[in-house]
Amino acid sequence: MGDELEELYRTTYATVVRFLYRKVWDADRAHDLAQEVFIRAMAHRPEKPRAWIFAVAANLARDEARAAVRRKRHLTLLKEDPATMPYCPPPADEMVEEDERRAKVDEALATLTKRDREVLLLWDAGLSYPEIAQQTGLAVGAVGTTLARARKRLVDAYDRSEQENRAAHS
Amino acid sequence: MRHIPEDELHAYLDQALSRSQCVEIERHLARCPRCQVQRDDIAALRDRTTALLARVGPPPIIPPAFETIMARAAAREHRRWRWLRAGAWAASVGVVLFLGWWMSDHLFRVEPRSIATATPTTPQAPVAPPAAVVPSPASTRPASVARKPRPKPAPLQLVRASRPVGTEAPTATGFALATETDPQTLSDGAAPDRLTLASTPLEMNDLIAQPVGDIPGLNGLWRTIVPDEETADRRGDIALVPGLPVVQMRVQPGTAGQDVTAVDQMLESGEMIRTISGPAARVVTLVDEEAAADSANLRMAGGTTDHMTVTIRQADRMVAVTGPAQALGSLLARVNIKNAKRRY
Repeated sequence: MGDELEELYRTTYATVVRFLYRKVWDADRAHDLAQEVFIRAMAHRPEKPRAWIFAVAANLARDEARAAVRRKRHLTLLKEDPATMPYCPPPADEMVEEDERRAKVDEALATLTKRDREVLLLWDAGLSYPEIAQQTGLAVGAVGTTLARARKRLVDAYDRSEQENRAAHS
Repeated sequence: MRHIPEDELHAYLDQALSRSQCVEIERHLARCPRCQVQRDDIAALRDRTTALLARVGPPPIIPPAFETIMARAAAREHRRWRWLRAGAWAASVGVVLFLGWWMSDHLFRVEPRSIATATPTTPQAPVAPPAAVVPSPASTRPASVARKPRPKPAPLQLVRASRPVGTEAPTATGFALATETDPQTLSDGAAPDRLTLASTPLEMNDLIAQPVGDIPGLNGLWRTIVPDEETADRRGDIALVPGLPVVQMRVQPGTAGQDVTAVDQMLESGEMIRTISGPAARVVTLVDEEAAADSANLRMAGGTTDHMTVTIRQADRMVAVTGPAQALGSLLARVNIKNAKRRY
C-alpha cells in the first residue's frame, strides 16, 4: 500500500500540482495543496487512490477559491475606504509575451462553464473517463460529450481573443 | 450509413472505449472519408487544447522527496493521537469530576454524624447495610434550612456497641458493626444507647493529634469484657469506631463510677486501632504511657512506628484513638467532610 502510494506520488504529483495550479493560479499554493492531498492520502489509505487524490485536490481547490473570494471581497471593502488603501505601484507596461499568452488561456478557460472546465482539467490531469465521471457525477457516456464541447469552446475562445488582439494592434 | 458521433470520436481518441467499440469505429473509419476528416479535426483540437493548457501550467515541478511527505503524514498522525489522548484524558477527568459530584450529592448526604461502615468480616456479625448508600432524610431537606443563624449543632455521638438479643454470643472478633443510619439491625428493635460526648459544638480545635512512637501499652488492671455481656448487665457506653470489627474490649473501673474503656479494633488493612474512652485525666495518662506494657496484645506487624493518637476532649471526658497515622488521617478527613456537610 505504501509502495503503491509512493509510486502514485512519483507519477502523479506533477499532474496534481498542474491540476491545482489551474484552479488556484499560484504555484506555491498548488504545491502546498498537492502535498496536503498526499499527506491525507497516507492517513486515509483510499481504495482507489488515484481518483481519491484528484477528488480531494478538487475539494481543496474549491475551498481555496472560496477563501479567495472572501479575500477579494475584503479587499474591495478596503478599496472603498481611501484611508486604508495601500499604495499600489502602477502595473508594468511591458508584459512578457509568455504571461500574455497565459493570461489569454486563463480568459479562454474562464469562458467555459464550471462543469466543462472541470472535466477538461481533470482529463488534462490524466484521469480516465470513469474517474472523471465518478468525480463530477456525470455518466461515463457524457464525459466524451462534455470534453468535446469543452475543447471546442476553449480553442474557439482563445482564437477569438487572438483575433481581437491582432485587430487591436493593426 | 451511420456516421460516428463527435463525442464518440473524442472518446475513441482518448482511448476511453472498449476494444469492441474501437474495432467497430476503426472498421467504419476505414471506409468513411467524412468521418476520417472529422477524426483528424478532433485530433488536432485535442492537441491544441493540450498545448494551450500546457501554457497555463505552473513553472517546472520538482516534487519533494516522498519521505518528506511520509514524515509530515507521520507527524500529523502523531499530533492527532496526542489530541485524541488529550481528549480522552479530559473526558475521563470529566467523568471523575461528575462521579465525584454525584457521589458527594448522593453518598455523603447521609446523616452527618454517621461514619461509613465496613462490611462485617465474620459470618456471625450482624449484617448492617452500608450506611453510605442509604439516603437519610436530611438529604431531602431544603437548603434554606441550613441558613439558620448558628443553630445548636448535633453533638458527636459514638454508638454504643450492642448485640441483637437472642443471638448466640459472638466471638470477640465477630462483634460490632454500629451505624447510626440503621441501628435497628444491631439492637433488635430497641433504640440504641448512645454515648454523647459533646453537648456543645465540636470544633476542629477539639481534635488534638499528637504523634506517638508506638501504640501505648495499657498499664493498670483491666478486665476484658465480652461486649454483649457488658451491655446486658451494665448498660455501659463504650466508645469505638463504628464499622470496624472489635478484637478486644477492656474496661478499668474508675472513680465515681467513671469507667475507662479500651477497644481494640482491626482496620481493613489488618492493622490495629485502639479507642480509649473515659475521664480526660485518665485517658491522657494512659496515652502518655508509652512503655509497651505486656498487657497490650497489640503487636503491630513489622514494628510500625508510624502511629499517632487523636484525642477528642469534651469537658472532663476524652476519647483517644491510636492507630496508624494514615488510617487516622482518613478518619480525620471524614470528620472534616462531616463538619463541612453538616446540616441543621
